[in-house]
Amino acid sequence: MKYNLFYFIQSILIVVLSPLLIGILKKMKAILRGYVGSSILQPYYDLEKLLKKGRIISNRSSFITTIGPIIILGATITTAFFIPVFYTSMEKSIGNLFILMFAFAIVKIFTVLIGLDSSSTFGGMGSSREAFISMMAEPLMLFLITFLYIETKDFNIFHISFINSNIVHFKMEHYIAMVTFIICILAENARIPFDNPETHLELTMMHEAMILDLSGSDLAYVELSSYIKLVVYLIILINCYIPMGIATTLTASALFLGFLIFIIKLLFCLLGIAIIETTFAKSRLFRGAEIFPATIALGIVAITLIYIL
Amino acid sequence: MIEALLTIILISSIYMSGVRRIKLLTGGFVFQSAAIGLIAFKLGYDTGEVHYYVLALLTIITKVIIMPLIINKSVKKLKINREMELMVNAFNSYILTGTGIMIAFGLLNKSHNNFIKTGIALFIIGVLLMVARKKAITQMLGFLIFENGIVLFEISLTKMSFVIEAGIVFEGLMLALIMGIMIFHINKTFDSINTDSFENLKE
Amino acid sequence: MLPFINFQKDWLSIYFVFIIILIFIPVAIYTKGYIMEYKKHYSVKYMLALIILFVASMIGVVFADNSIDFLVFWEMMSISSFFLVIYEYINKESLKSGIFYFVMTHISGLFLMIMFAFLYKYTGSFNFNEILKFSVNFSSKQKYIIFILALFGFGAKMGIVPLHAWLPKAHPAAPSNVSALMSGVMLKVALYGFIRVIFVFLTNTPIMCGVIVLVIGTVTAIFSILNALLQNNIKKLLAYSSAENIGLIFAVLGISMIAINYNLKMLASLALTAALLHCLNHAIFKSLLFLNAGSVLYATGTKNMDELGGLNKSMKFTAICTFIGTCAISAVPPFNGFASEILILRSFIEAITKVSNIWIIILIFSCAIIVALTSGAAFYATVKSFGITFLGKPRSEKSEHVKIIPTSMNIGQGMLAILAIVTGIFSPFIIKEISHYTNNLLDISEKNLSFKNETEIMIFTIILICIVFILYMFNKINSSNKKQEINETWACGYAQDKPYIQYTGSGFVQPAAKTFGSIANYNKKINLKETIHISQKTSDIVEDYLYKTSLKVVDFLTTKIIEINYGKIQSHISYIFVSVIIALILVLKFV
Repeated sequence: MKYNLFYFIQSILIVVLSPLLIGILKKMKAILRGYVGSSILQPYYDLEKLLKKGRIISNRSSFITTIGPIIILGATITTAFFIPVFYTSMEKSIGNLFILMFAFAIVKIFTVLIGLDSSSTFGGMGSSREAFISMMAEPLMLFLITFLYIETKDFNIFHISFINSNIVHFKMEHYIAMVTFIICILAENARIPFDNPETHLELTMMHEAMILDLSGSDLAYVELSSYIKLVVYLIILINCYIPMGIATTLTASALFLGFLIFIIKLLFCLLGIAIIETTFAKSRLFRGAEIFPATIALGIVAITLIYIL
Repeated sequence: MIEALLTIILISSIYMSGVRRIKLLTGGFVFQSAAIGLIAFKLGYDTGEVHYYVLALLTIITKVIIMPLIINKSVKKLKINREMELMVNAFNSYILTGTGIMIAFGLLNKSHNNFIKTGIALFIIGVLLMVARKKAITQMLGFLIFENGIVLFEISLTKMSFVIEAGIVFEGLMLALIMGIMIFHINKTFDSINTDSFENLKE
Repeated sequence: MLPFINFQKDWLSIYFVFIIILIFIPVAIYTKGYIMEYKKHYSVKYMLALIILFVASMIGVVFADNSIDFLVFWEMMSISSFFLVIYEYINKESLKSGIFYFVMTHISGLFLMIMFAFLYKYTGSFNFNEILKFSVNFSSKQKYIIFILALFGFGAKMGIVPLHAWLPKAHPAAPSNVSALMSGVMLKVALYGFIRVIFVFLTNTPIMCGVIVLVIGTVTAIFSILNALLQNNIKKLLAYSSAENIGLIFAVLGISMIAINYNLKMLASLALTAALLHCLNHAIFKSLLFLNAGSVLYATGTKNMDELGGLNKSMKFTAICTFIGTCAISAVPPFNGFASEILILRSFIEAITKVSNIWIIILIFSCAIIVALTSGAAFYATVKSFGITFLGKPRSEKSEHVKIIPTSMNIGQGMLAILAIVTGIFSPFIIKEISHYTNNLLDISEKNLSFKNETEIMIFTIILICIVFILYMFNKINSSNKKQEINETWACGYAQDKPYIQYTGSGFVQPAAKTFGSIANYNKKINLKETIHISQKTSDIVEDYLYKTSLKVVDFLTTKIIEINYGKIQSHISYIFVSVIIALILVLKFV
């Protein structure tokens, strides 16, 4: 099992650059809404400020709040080591899609239990809504793996992006499956229309409610982990569904071109998320949950088409 | 190109099976009929036969321009614009739509004609929409989707007769007109178009 | 016929005996401390004797070499478990549940007797080895009959819908160590019987059998987990969760049967390996969770989640063990539930691409979507069970005064928790071992294992531990000069923080209750007289509609028959004489 030095470098790049990408997302939202907004490097300053402060923990909290944030951040950084960014190859390597998707279950279980640990109403409410939404989003992750397996007969994400990188014209069902995964990204990362990531009102928060009681370095770890998680999901979307232009050889020109195309695609995705967050409003919990059976029906259509049409 | 249009038809029908606002339903229907018109257009361009062009023109004129006007006028007179209580709730109707599409494609696996498969899928979705809703306007839209399915089914026949397609198109137009007038009169007499209260007519 | 018993030295039997003994040792250590609770009212030696008889009869069933031995040990297992279920006889509810269980387990014994009788009729022998030799000549109709009888016989013992209604009654009524044994091990013995009859005797079954097994497994899984979500009683939740896992194993066995029919041997081997691995993993983590529920019951005296809470301060070790059990059942890497969940989903996905009939593909695909939904719901249900019981503030008096747990109970739970972690991390080796057996069973000669990317789990664990260690060091250095305050929970400025502000168990699952509540007959009544009174209850719809209706039908028929049959002795004697003649004619004609 070979693990190239380049895989290591590109994963470290994701971990270091993800607050910058989230800063770009917030700046795009600000420009679309018509105000100047904070600078692109603001998330770095926020994290530094939080790391300088001391922690306050509740007198009823348990070992979950003590070790939880560290394990959440550790699991998220580990997933960053399992995906290709702008260079991939067909060698035998790590990167099984199942391990990737289930590694986020570590993050989920700790976050939900931190919400219940704080023994306040907000925590319980956030945990209950988050567990409900992620229960309904499980079939969407199954669609991702099934569709890619039917297309490329492989479970390894490096091999999938290598095989798909030669094709320029995809069939229609490929794009339908991409829409299905986009809705899964919005559900898992607490974006509109399932949750509003900027608010602290009881009516409108889900992810923020679970981490309401954390402060100081705990909050810094959990925030950094949510930034990295969004970037990793976007990279999975880019490299599985639209991987044309990814570098498949180790020559300098291919790597440079791959890096450039990757940055352009990532900026497009961030612009798409900014447009969705600006134009749509957060929907009620049960109205938002109605999107899931519609997406499952879409996924059924995609897999039927790839078999039959 | 034809595959992309057929996919747009299926996606719009999934969308229509769960929304509550009449304007969005009409929008989805317009999308679907425009896609059918474009398919007929492209088929006419490929084969060069004239009646494909005529069908495309008739579909676009009646279903994309005239029918939404009629529906919007009725909606404005009746002052309703959404259907709040569905008989089969949105969750289940989406899943039934997906299952219906899967079964339709499974039944006709052997034939290679894509239009028959999409046509039968539209049949199932149209009937579902007619059965699962309470307000008469949505039931009418369900019947119009059924009509679309018949048009698609008919495109797949190799020898099309001009009379049949003209008949279908005019029947759809008449139906929309009649339903619009009837709904207005029903509302005037009974003060509601909720078909639940129609049961009281039994006595 | 059997003064001494021959042993079946098959790999399958040895694997299941290994599971039985692996679970029995921690439970036995746990029993030493747990039994002290029962010293006042009941007899301790009685329970110990019954447990040893129970485990011995299960080992006897698995090692049995011929049908008669199998049935004798099966009856011993049923009777000893019945006496264990009604152990707390002072409680009337346990008696009712025990009798219900007794009837169901004898229905299963009846069907098994008929099945073995048919096997004797078709092959002329009771010995398993000889049945194996003759079974290749079975016709399709014979296979159907054996399959239906095996489905009902073993199914009533396993807990598949619609024969599952005894599970949520019997498991909470029994003492916790007995529940752990019953749920962890006895259900697996029934699975062993099913695998032995279907896969070893009739290897190639008609395709409808595989489809029936797949559909029943999926329906069991989704029905049980949605019922489990809405329960307040910890043990009832765990009992329904057992039924869900058995449903999953059953569905994967169905895929294996379909694959054998289409001659896709690698896929069949993968699916059978997934089923056998999940047997082992489920035994470990379900016994762990039942033992934890027993500790909570011992310490606080209640099983209702809504009266507990905040137990992580007073029962630290139990909290850590329950947390490991919850992670294992929700398929969190690197614990053991994750390894078998991957294999189950992989067999579903690979089956979609390899089978050729379009209707079977549609069926497998729909079942895959439902299985994904059940794994999400299992996460929801077990997180509720751990979170509401152990975290937060105590919700009532019972969870404030907590008895100290004896050390032997802690050791028992700790052993199972360590087993859960070890079987998770070293799962590639276990998978390799099991796949040797399944490859041999299905006559696959090539030694290429398609399970090679399972070793990634070890690499994942190593990377995870390294990164967490680095972060922990960083955290320690960072917070060495900062102060850490412990204060009350932030309740948005509200000064009097009462424990009932927290979420209760039923509130936690309220979104799911509103969406899926009709499956569990969820009923919520709100009374607004002097005080506002909310009552919620759920019930099992299979029990309500199927069992009670059939009991009413039997009642009705018996009243009618009594009217015919009442009174004279002469009519009774003539009825008996006629029925004996009819039975003789039937036996002479058909056997």
